[in-house]
Amino acid sequence: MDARPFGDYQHPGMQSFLKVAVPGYYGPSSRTVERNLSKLYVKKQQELKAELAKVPDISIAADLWRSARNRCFLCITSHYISPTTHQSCGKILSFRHFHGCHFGSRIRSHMLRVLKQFDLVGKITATTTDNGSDIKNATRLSRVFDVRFHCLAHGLDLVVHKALGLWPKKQAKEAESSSAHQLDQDE
Amino acid sequence: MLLSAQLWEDEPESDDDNDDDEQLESIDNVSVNINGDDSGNDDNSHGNDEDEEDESTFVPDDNTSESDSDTSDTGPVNPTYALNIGELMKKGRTVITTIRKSGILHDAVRNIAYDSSINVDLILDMRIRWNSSYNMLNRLFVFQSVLEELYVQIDSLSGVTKRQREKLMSAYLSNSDWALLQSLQFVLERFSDATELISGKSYPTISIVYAVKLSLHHFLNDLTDDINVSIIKQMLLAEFDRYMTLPVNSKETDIISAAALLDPSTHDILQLDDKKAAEKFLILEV
Repeated sequence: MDARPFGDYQHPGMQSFLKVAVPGYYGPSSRTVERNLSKLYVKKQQELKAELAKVPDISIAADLWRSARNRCFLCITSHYISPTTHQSCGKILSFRHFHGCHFGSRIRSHMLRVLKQFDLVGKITATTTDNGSDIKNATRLSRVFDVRFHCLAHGLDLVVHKALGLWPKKQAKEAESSSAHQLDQDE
Repeated sequence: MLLSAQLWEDEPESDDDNDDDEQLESIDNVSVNINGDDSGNDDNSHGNDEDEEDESTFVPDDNTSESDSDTSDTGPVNPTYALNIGELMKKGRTVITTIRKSGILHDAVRNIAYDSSINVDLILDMRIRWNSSYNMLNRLFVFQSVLEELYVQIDSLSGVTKRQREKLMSAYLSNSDWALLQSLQFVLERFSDATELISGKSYPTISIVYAVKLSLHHFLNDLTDDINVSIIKQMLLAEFDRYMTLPVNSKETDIISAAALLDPSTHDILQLDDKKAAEKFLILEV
């Protein structure tokens, strides 16, 4: 949760603290932490799967972005009304580093894999994504993803950026293509 | 644009057809589409940068050609103004980075700020973070008097290099700059509020989408404010119409209207046309 390294317990400061606080206790090694975490992950995943099995209709949202270190992440969340408490819930289905190129087909196969993993195929009633052409293409399969919604917040951000030119054009190429587009419009 | 319009017209239009969605590609990507269309492979949607949301319109719908001519016709937008805002933001960023990078300048600013009991720091905006530009402006306004004081003191500060001083001087925000920033802040505040409203996790947001779109549209069309605000609004309006106009009979529009109809808080603001469409849609669904 705090992005602490697995080997935190074995660090000298922590060890000298434990010596005083809990004499005789050394804390788990990094290997143990890692092992426990992966067990916990599988367990939680099973729990979520069991919970989602009770829900008849689920909507999902997906977003793809690039971090400052140029790593791509794809996050898929599920939104549903809990059958027990009748509150709307949002749970993350998958959050992972996306390797390779962002073809619509690649994103789609990943999303389908995740949906199959949770047994959600056929239960999806709506899909919300941003306006990226790749992810639009990935979710256009209405048999699985049903109605596609555009994320309004992304849209508003886009409106402000585009209209006011808050940021300089990134690359000369981009500027060129947009000016070409401008010309097209003028015609 | 002519080409793409024809392309869309030539294709048979039907809402449920999957192939139809292939046509719902971005306007900007049209040149790519034309080449890759016959093969019909999925890969033509390949985007290669983080801003690819930028490359596609909200929904390039059937009447793309119309909406496009709208865009080019909208109002007497002065293109040099767009330039000014971009440059102005750049100036602001230059001031902030120069101060944040230099320990001496930062300490000086902190000292002045401390006297006027400001306990926050200047922040920079980020390209893909929503509302970050608005947040940066807000902070800049908190520091307005501090920055003015800094410009008075800058010659007496020891250890500030010539380059830093020149950089700060080149990015000096004049009174008219501040006035324009003020107008910008005023307009962006609405967008910031809207984004926060629809970012809720514990309540359904789809009916709010309707309310937000409607009220922002009203806000942007209300040109009774001072000249700067009006010009900014006009600049925004063209893009707003382009990105926010959904195809009239799409399921997405119908569902949003229906949600707005059923939500008590948005029920009363529903426009007559949308209300009819929503009722028709609901009856059909049931």
